Amino acid sequence: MSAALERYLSEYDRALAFDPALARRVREEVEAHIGEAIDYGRTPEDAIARFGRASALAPDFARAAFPARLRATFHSGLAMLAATFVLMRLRSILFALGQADGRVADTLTLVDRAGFAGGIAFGLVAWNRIYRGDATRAGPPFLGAAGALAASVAASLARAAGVAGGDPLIWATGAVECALILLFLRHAARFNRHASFVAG
Amino acid sequence: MSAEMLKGHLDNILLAVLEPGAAHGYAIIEAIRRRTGGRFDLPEGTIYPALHRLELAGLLASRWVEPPTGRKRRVYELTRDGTMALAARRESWSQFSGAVDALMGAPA
Repeated sequence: MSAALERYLSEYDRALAFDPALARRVREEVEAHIGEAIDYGRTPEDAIARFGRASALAPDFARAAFPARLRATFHSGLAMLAATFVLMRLRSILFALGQADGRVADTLTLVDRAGFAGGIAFGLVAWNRIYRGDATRAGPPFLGAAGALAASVAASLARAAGVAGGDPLIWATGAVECALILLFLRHAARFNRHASFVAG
Repeated sequence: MSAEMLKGHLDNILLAVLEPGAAHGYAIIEAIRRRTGGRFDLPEGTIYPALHRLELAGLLASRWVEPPTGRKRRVYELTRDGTMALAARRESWSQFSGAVDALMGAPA
């Protein structure tokens, strides 16, 4: 591979670093196309010039992939919200958490509920921005929802652990929620970077 | 013809070029040039984001093909939805271009 082509491909790698799968696909397709042009007798420089400027094309690739990123983030958020609610209720019923009292338990209950409500509120803000055709501004509310739900899950688990810390069900449900939180946080963070790039 | 003017019609152009069968990006560009007598000469990279968009919309499918001799390429082809979309867009284009022709032709 010529140095000029490697430099050109690196421009796409850098611009699309927020989505490694997209960056890899773009690199492979651009490399195949320019390789084909070179096979047909063009110089690497001419083939690159005819392909177009990476600074103009990379945002087009990002815009094309944006709806799929939005869907994945939204679905991940909904799954997180549903799982948090169901598992929180399950722990509450099984371990009679509603009867736990004391200052710490009350504070944790407050954080749990406020976090869950906050997650819904941030989700609604994100949904509203998407609905109004302003999806590139949905990143911060997605991150807010992830943070609020993470606080809710942490408080719910701490409350349950205080009542029945040794029960494997607490660790199992906690593991599921933590995995979903991490997945949603990852989606939300990537969405935020993708949206910022698309918005320019 | 300017690239900006073409961009608005790129999705239809790509669907039409892929109607005869699967093709990779370089072949698509060549087909556009050949079938338009060189009048549509886009920066070649312009078609790829559009191909991605059409694939995500379910109108195209793609796969990597590695011939025994030669270069590995991603080829694109119309899906069933893509074929139906092309038929609908062709009909719509026919009406639109007929109406514009009626207006842009010689003054009445």
